[in-house]
Amino acid sequence: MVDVEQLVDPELEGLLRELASRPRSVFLRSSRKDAMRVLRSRTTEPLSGMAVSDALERELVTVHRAELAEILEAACRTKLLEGEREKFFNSPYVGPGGGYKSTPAGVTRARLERSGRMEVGGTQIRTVSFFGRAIPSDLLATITVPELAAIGHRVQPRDTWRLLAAFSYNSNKLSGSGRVLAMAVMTGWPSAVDAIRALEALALSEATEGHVTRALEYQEQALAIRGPYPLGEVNRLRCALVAVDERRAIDAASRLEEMIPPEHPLVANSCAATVGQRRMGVFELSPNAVRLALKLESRMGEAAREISRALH
Amino acid sequence: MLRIADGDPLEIGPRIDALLEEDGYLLAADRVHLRTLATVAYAACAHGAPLEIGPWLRTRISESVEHLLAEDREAERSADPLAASSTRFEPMVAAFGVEPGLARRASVAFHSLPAAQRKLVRGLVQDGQSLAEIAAKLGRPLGELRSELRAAVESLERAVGTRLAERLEGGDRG
Repeated sequence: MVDVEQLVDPELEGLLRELASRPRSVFLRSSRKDAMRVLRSRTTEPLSGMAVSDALERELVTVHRAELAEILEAACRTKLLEGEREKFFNSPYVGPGGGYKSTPAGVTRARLERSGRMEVGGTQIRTVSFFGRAIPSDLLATITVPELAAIGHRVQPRDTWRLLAAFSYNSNKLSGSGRVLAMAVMTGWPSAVDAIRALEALALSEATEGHVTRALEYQEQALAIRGPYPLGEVNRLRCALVAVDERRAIDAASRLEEMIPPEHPLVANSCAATVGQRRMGVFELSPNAVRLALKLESRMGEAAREISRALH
Repeated sequence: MLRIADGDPLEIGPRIDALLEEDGYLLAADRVHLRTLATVAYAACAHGAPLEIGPWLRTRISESVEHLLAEDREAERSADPLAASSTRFEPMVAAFGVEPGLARRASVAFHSLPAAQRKLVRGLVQDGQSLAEIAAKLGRPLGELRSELRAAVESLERAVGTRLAERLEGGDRG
């Protein structure tokens, strides 16, 4: 069963042998000799036109679906940025420079129709009727993010839809549904980016329900995956202030001070989001949280001070 | 479209090999190639000819890789059947000796590892470098790379092995 030749670095080979000796190990259960030979010998070779034409046609349809998904995703993000409540819950999707630009419903519709008429290499791809049925013109302006995400998931299944819907649910006080979707991402095989987003959605669900310490823990996990990044530190600072966690608040403030200048657009964005979230009752400040914010203010960088003021 | 497939005039193949190596992916290059051809043909029709072909092609290849990885994740999540004869995940069989039926799972777990760990493992199993050579190239202590290698392989073992155990206990031997 086990056919191990010295094909790779002895360090790795030794490690695999050690792990393979465990009864339930999955390593070294298949002959690697042939697979390795094929692998070592190959670089990408030119493809013959006749042999691949059918396969290419199938791939084209897949790529076409990816473009349709991208249009729907833009529509979802636009709705998340424009909604009265949603824009304050969407900070993970807004970058330092303001993030995604809104795409008007008419433009989205036009892109869908153009995409439906696409002709590539003799292959005409007609899918507009599917969208015509799924999203009539007058509905595109009123359809919800979870509904759009559900259509997107049919076009091209992936975690992005679960996350977009999770953020939408959170913003509409349906934090239970938001948590379920974010957990579904975490228990699957998320990419690093999706895992970070899912943890931030979970943090938001917990914060919305008043479990700020748990929210802070999720935010810490998100930072552990990616290392320090401004938006993560901003979220961490907010949670730390509200959870009255002095050590983490100081740490997040110091990192923010190192990472971004006070005039950075993220500061203004974060303050707007913090004020909005507070107004909507996401962050309920205890007297201790206010005392901590005041106590820390003199030791914080400009970005942190702005957030602290917004939280008072 | 067949014009760009026949003879590889855009030199997509070598660009794919370079990107897979740089970013530490263990994917079958012909699978990435096919998807990239479609992506390139589609993007050229949709958005017109690019101003700078090199960076544009690199972006198309990256897109293709990301889409393939996302598809694999979803297929694994949905437990879609994987033909035992499939060679799509051959690099995983070659690298770790996992059974072909577990190769997609191993691929998904491998591509969920941090990029630095992926690059290290790929350097060892596909590019034929020794750990000492990689350490010298990166200017990092050998012991540090050894720990990273152990962490990567054990993460993979945990990810693939645990899920296998769950399936076996659940009576699903597919």
